[in-house]
Amino acid sequence: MKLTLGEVLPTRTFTIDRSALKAYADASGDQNPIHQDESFAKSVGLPNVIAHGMLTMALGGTYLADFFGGSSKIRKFGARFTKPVVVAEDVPAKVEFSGAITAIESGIVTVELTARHGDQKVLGMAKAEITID
Amino acid sequence: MIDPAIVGKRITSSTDFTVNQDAITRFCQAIGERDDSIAPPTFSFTFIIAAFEETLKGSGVDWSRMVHGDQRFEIREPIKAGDRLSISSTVESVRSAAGNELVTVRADIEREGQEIIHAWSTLVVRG
Repeated sequence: MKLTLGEVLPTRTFTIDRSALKAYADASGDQNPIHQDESFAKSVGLPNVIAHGMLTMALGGTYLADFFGGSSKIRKFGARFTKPVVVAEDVPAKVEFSGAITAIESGIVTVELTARHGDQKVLGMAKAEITID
Repeated sequence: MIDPAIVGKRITSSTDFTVNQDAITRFCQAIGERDDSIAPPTFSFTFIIAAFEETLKGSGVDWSRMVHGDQRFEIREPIKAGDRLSISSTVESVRSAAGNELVTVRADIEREGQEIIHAWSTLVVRG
């Protein structure tokens, strides 16, 4: 795989709707009602239901895995959950991922990942180290 | 308040568990990953969080005010269906910042005596 320092990865947008939150809750076991129950979410001061931070991070993993040829290549992956992704009933969230290669050394590339929902960055310090062939 | 004496506490789960293909497949479907021959990099968090809850039991953590601050994984070998895993979790730090309490916990996941994944979570108890 030929990559260059500073290379920018093509962006990809994932749509998160309420059914996606239900699917992630069931697959992950995280049934916290702030991710599914609008009245509960509002009762604890949120504007609406929010996506699981780990779902957003996992979508970032899918984005990287697709570009680099499989999730087995991802050796390190970290992120801060800086802003919640709000998912209204009739307004699915569209989270756009982009990435930039910030280091290439000994067959390992470092990617700085950006995840945007509207004009907000929803992950901070998101970074992965990926093995390349 | 989180009791700072909990820093350094380490608990190893008493029983190993086996990862089944159905759990990996459902997780992959939920995150748009087409290849379910191995578990995606964040899959282990689905069982790590229960280990952290056990380790932090009795420490004064208010789970109703808990949010996930950050997450990091180091993956030496990906998890596959049929893997028998054990998990240990260690409280690395407890601190206060901007009126919140932050606790960082590390998980060490072993397969047949080999550490395959380390994961760190910072959990934030909102003040």
